[in-house]
Amino acid sequence: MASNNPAAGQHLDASVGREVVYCHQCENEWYRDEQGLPCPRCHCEATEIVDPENDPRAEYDDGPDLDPFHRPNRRNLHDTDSDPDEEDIEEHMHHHIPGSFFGRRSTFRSPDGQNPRSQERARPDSSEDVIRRFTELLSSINGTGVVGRNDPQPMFGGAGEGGAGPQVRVTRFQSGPYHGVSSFTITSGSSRMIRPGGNGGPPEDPFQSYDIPSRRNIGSSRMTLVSISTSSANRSPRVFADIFGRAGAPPPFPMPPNFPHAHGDDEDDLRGPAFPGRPGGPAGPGMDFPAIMHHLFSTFLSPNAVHGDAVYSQEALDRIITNLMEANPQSNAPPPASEDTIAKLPRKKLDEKMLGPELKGECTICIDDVGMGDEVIVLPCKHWFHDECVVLWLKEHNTCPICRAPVEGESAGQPQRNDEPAGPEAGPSSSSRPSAAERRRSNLRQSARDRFDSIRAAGGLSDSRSASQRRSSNSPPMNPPSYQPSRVRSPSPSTRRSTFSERSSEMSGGGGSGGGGGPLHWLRDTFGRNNRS
Amino acid sequence: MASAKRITKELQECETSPPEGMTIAYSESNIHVWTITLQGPPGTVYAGGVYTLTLTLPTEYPFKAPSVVFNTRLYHPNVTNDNAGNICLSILKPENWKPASRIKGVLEAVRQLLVEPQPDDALEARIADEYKNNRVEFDKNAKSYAQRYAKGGNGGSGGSGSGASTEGPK
Repeated sequence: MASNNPAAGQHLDASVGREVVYCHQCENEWYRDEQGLPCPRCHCEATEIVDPENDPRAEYDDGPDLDPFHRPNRRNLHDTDSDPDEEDIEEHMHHHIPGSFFGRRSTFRSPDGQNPRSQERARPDSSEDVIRRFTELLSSINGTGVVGRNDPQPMFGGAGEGGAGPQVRVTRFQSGPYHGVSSFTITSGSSRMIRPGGNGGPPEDPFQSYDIPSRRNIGSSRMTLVSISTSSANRSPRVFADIFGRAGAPPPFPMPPNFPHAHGDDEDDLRGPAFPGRPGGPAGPGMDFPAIMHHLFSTFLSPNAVHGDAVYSQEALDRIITNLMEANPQSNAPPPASEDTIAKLPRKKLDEKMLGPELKGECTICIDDVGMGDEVIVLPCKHWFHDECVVLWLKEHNTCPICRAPVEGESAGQPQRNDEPAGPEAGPSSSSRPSAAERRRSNLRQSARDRFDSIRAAGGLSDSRSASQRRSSNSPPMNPPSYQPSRVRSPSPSTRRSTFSERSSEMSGGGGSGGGGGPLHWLRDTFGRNNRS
Repeated sequence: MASAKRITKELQECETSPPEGMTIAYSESNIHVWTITLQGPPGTVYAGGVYTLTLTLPTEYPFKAPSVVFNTRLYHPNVTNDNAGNICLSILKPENWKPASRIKGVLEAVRQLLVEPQPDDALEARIADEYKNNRVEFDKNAKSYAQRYAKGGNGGSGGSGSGASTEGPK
């Protein structure tokens, strides 16, 4: 075989009149008049008569550097590289899997802090320059150039930089442990929703972004950059170690006033009332480094995932809704009664008619005995309780503690609502009782609808009136929850139904009357404040 | 305070006329946690077993529902098949709870759940399915659980928690 196989790098000459055959399988080559067309070595048919004009063998020999990355099997050709380790790095950089990223770090040192190479380089002690360059770098990586520079709406309204470059805000602080002047910079990209119609409109509600993602926001990204530098040259590692070590603890430095916006609507905050009732002002405590870093990296790594106050995937939306629901497990329960309603409830002295022939009774809330002449509150359903007992309950739920009839609204204590669309209710429900399973299913649907209604209402997305009308007219025939034990004085089905409709109209229409807490209200309040400020 | 007063009253009521098949124990120092011992209702697959439950009353009681869990494992569509022993009881759900409900009623409802499981409100879908479609197998499994966890001394011994398909004693 060696006779036919020339030494590496040399080939049989195809231009001397004899036909040279080349095997693509085993790279063998031979003269056709000696061995024929099939490869004598591997007996395959993938052979080719070599044409000097178009030599298949040249593919593998010419210029190994032309396209090295498409031929990983020929790595050995590169062994002459000056630094094998470095070649390894190249390999990794170019064969990264989609979605990963690679980077390169250059470190320049100079004894006096001056950069010997070029005046263009930012001086290390000029943090604004450094940050400006960093944001430029990021925007060019991103390819969209959205980091403030080309954004028609400066992200820090009226910050003064006027769009002539990345928005940079520097806060200097004197910090004890490392005795240096450090600067702390946060820059945020186009994080605001910009909708056609622009500035003249009413304050935008962040919840709208779930429904109508602005087109320009899809292409853009938000940036939250943090830079920390110290004037004393060798301190940086310590600074970082210190800051990261404190992650989660109240940081000792003041925050730029724009920070609550950059961070406050991060998706993480939906996981729970992390800072309920936090003022919109400087948000020193509670702001943590992992959140910022998460923000920064998520900008690069997953541009399609949860992204500030907008989501682009069903999973992300589901996650947010799940978080909302879990954080608000009581959202199925009736909302509180308003102060006004409670104040207007009639107070009466117990009489013989209310107590019955034995002239004795008990308040079912505190189960204390009551007698003639005791003052009680009488609900529209005629059930009565101690004033203080029932008020405690009504401040949580607007239904009777015994029969769950509503205590407010036009249907209070009434079996039927006048404005209820008659159609579906008069239908099959009157003729046939739905099975337990059907009832349960419709209950689930109903409660899901209630939740979504309340979410929508919190976002101000729809006209609440029409939403509740539409919902109720679409409601399947159903009986509200009826698996209470029968020993309790059980209300009539019609009463229960009115309980339900009253409740849902409260939820979608009232939008948190009586200041009932809960993350939804908190979110709305917070975002509302942000928009106004 | 109001809650403590009402709880004391209910405790007295439960002591003078305890719910059927139950005994109630509590600590004077914390009347918000009751330990209930429930005899498996006769005529059911749980008969003969002794089940302990823990009832916890929130400080907001009676404006918030109490919580009840089984400490003894049992094979039931409405009780989680794990050591947590959570119970799906509709009257305890926030949207259904009302102050007029009493602890005695809650305990009676728990016992009634053993007499009459509610497979349409299941916590354990597989057991519910078996209850509805293969009662023989369900009975066998439930009795096997009862034998293993609820009989022969301490009901709350926990056990190894092996799979639900454990065969009964031969």
